[in-house]
Amino acid sequence: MPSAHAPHATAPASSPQSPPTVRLSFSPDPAYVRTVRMVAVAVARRAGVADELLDEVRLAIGEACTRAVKVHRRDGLADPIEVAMSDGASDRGPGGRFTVTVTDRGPAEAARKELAGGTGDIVARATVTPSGEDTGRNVLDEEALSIGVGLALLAGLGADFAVLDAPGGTGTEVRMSWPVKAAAGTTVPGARSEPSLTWRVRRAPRARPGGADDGSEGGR
Amino acid sequence: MELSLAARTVAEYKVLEIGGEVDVYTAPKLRERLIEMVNAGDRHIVVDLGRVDFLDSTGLGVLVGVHRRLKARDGSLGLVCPHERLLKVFRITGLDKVFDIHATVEDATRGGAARAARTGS
Repeated sequence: MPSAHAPHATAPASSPQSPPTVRLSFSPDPAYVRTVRMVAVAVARRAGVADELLDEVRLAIGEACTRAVKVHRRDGLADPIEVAMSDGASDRGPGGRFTVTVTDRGPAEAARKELAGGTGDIVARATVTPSGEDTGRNVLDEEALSIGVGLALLAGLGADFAVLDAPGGTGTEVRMSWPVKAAAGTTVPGARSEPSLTWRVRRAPRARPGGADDGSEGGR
Repeated sequence: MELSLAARTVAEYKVLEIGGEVDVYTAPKLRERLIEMVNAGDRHIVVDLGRVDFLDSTGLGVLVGVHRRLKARDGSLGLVCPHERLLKVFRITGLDKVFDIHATVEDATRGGAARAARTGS
């Protein structure tokens, strides 16, 4: 069953692709996921995604990026995570969509398996037997659990999304899209080939955030 | 501010009020604090999500882990979650059936800790 060209999409992958209008590239560091969420929501709003969908956009893109960061860290990959957003301007009108792709270098096959697992896993792990034995594997469980649950959560949100093999070697592309209101935004059609904003965030290797900057007193 | 944590005591409960965003970056701080509380002997913990703007699967993972730890010690984890936005995340994952979720801290701490330990799966 693992054929090299297994069907890619788990859902119809959104409408005709517009070229990206915003591209982000960030080191696989959890600190940047929030930044990407904020940018994504701003771009979605500008693209004309309805206000009531913005929470979903924030959560979905956050989950996709979080998963990518965790996969890279788990597999020791320093490569950046690539995020591309398209405001749907070139196919605006009925059917125009705000489309986001989040691309990592982990194997797509694994991602599809996680997706197939659904959310049953998290409930199963959360449920404790009456005897309540503590396995002592909590931290491990949480980590494994939240890698898998992210995609399931994404699926549960009801966004149009697909898990694809990333172009150019091993990699997973999570593609999501949302409808844009017709006639929203003021993007000039025609600028098709280049992203209108490109932003790269690379943290120099080894500059780990200390983790002691949250102002909360740990106190033991 | 990305994440704030403030603990207080309400009857037999320790209430941890969280503010800000719980995600892959901040969740380790939340996990650390909750585990400290459990290790310090707190058995009945209520996590107040009333001022949380964002909660993702990583945050859910932390709550699941602490829920398990407390259950294993005859304790309980209650959640306060008045926002539909966050409740949706619990519903999608099926965790709304696992956690004891209340609208207010008063509800979550009513009836005493013994009741809390008996109910909830």
